[in-house]
Amino acid sequence: MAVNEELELLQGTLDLLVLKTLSWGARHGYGVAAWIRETTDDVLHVEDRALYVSLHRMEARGWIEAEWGLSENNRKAKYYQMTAAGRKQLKTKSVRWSRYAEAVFKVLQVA
Amino acid sequence: MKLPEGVRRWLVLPKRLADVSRQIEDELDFHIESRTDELIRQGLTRGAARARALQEFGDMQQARNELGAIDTVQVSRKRRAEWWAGVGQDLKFAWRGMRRQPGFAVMIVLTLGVGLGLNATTFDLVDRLLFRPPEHVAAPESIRRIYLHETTPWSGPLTQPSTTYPDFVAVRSGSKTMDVAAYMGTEGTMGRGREAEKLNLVAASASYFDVLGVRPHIGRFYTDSEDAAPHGEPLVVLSYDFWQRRFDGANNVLGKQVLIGRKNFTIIGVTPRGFTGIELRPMDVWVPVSVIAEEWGGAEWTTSRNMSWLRMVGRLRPLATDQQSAQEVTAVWRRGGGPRIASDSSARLVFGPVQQARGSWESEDTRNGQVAGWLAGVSVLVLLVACANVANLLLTRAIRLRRETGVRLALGVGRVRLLRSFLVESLLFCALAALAAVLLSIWGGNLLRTLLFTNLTWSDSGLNSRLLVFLLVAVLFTTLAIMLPPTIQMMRESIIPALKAGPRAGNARSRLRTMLLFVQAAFSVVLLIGAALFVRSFQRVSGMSLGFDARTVLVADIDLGLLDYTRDQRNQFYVAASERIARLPGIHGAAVGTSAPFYSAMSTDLHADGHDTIPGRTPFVISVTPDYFATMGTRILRGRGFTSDDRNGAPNVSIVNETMARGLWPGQNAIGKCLYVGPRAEKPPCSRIVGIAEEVKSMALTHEPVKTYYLPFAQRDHGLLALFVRAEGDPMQVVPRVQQAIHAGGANLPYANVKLLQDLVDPHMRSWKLGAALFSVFGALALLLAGMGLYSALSHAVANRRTEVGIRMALGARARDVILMILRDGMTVALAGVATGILIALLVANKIGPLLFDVTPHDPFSYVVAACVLLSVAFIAVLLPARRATSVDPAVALKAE
Repeated sequence: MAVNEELELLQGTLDLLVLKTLSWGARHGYGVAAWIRETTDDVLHVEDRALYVSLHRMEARGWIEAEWGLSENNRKAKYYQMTAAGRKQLKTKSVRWSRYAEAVFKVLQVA
Repeated sequence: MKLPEGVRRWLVLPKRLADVSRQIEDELDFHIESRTDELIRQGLTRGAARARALQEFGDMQQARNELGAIDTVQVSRKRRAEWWAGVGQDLKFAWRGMRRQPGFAVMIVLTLGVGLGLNATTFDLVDRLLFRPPEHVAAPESIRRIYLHETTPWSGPLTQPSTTYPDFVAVRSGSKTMDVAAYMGTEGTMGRGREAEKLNLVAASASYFDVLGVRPHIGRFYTDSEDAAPHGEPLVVLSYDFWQRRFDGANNVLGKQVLIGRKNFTIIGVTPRGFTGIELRPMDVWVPVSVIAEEWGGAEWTTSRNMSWLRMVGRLRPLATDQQSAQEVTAVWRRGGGPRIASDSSARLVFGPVQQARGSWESEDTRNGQVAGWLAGVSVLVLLVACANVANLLLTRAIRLRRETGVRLALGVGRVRLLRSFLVESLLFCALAALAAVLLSIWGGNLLRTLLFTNLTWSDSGLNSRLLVFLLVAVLFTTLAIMLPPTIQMMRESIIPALKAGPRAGNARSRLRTMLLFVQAAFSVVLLIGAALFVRSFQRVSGMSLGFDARTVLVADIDLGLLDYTRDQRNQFYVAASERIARLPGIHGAAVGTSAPFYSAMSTDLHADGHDTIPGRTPFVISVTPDYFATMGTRILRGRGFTSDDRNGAPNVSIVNETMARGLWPGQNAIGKCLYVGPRAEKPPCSRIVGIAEEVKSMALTHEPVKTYYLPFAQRDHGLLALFVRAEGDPMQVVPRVQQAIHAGGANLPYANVKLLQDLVDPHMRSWKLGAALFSVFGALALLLAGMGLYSALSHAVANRRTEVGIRMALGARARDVILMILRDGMTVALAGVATGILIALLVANKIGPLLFDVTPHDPFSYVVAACVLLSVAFIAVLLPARRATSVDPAVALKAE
């Protein structure tokens, strides 16, 4: 697969992952990246640039909202949180992804 | 949004476009820093950690670009939505504000509505007269009316549209730069007897339809071969309206025959709806020129140069310029023998646009056009007065709300935001006013049409796209105008003084308000002066002695030539008819004359005792029956009138008017002198003068007196005949009886035209009447607006000085002195305004000189009256609130603060 296609596929999936990450509370961009890395045991390598594009795009669509905060070491960070619309999107995307994975799995199962 | 534990909120104001890149930078910085820290914790050096972090991130610049693009779009969208939401809010508040203070809102909307409505009406008028091209004419900008300019000894340099048939032929066939047609509008009759009907008829050359580029609605137009000299085909084209009216729009009307005048014409086509040629008056039918010419001009009509009756109109061919074409056409015309006086070097053809009001011929249309133009200017003035009024009201309100404005500014509402809500409110006012204006202009247009422009086509309703565009522009202009002073006030506002302003802050000496008052007073005075001048002018015109009783005398004529009556038969018919009519009940008397005032005039060869040629203009001659002077109401000043003894065979007598008597024999008694009527070679006998009649206006209302002499009808009866009838009561009541009496004279007679003499005079008076009526209305409106404006502004100013008044009175001042003081302040502004207005009027008045009849544009009476009226209004406007202010108990006034 060409690199571009790989990225696009990743984008839709990336949105899903980000939303899920934010479902547990507000995080800043770096926090989301760190969480995904830990949870997938470093298997999924998310390009940071793509992550921020995803965050900003979803903010523009109203799936997540953002607010600036001062961290403990007095650093300005932009924190994101899921909105009600985002929650709906998460549910829809999850269901769709599961179905997709199931279908692929079924095909692969057939020897 | 709930931030994680330990994170404090960092207040960031809503993003502007400038913030976007900075915030992205901050966010990305945080990320790199955090990763760097983590790598440092993993053991790398700062430099290596940072380098690694950057490398892990990816293309920084691309990130910035992408994120920038997304955020910029988002921010713009959000700001737009916010902006529109803000406007919606402003609108809601403005509407609510209007409902809370309906009186204030109604006054503003009405004032502006009147101003805008007037402008819409006059715009419509000006548009119709001066700008709108006639309907169904293709490419009207390349159409030119052709006028003749000549210098003759009897009328000096003159531009007018009538030419002869040979002129037309020469120009049409000879010009290579223009396609030319000829036409002539006149009245005709259709049918006979009871069903006879008057027609507005146009004799038009076949090229007329081609040149104008009009296509028939049904049927066709006649062609060149059908309009050929010397015998044209009797074909007729109907107008759409006439077709509807007379034939109910029946489709089978083509091929039918109708009797027009003497001939039976075949209907071959109908023009499209709204087409009325290039004149503004509605026309009923079009017939070929050659058919009419033969009737009127006799056998040599194709070559006769005695009849100037055709108007020419042409279309410039592509690539021809006006100058080239005018020169070429003039040359062709001159070659064809055009100029009446061969040595006249000034004789030429000139062009005018298709709108007659803009041509160089001094017609009723041009006069109307000038008046309309002035009216448009005046309307703008009235609108300005209205705007000044409203601006004043809004300014007063702004001053009253100073404290509130100060609070809002202190809270951080930007001035721009305040301005925007003010703009929305003003637009709302103006939009409502525009609605009122549209209604007013429709009604006003109808009024204008029925009162003053009865002879113009006004087929469509007032609304059309041009008017709406104009209204839009006017609304925008008005909005800006009314916003200006209050905005200046608001922009100058500083927060602290505004906050300190008392609840009834109303600085009586606001310079802005004084300026507005001054402007209102000045403009209103100018308008009033204009109104006064025009009203006086009209009074002069209508009060002018015409020399006959136009309002009680009817004039009748009937075209007996259609029945091939000989001249004797015709004369007998008329005299018999006049005798029949004179015996009818309700009729005071009837007479016959050989011309009618403002309709026709005749002159012939004449010399008199002591004068081999008559100096100055050739005198007019009228042959009249004995009852003529009594019927018309023309007084015999000396000597006697005609009697039945002055008949054929008896000694020839004549009567001259006083102008002629004074002109030919100054200081002497003209009675007894001789007039010799007829060509000298025939040695005419002496027609002894037996009486002197008063001066009579013949063809124009101007002052130049015309020499006229009268001959007994029984002794000389040349000319077109007209019947005059004097009724005892209301002349219109007897019209049907008169018509019947005329018809009783024979069978199968054509239509008998019976009109009030005033109807012949009216078209000449119309321009002045129009000017007077409209200027008076405008002047009254301006006065009303100015009065209201002055009253409200001045009374507010005075009311706000209540504290001051209270203090003065508490300190012992007399009420009278306080009132005088207030009066002095208020009247100073009014006087200054009036003085300026008078100055402006004096400067501008010269231009309307030609539109005034017998009144100088610097007529002192009008100026004084106008100034007094306005000053009295101002006086009352100041006096009433001043008296109210001083009548309040000082203690109460002081405590009210």
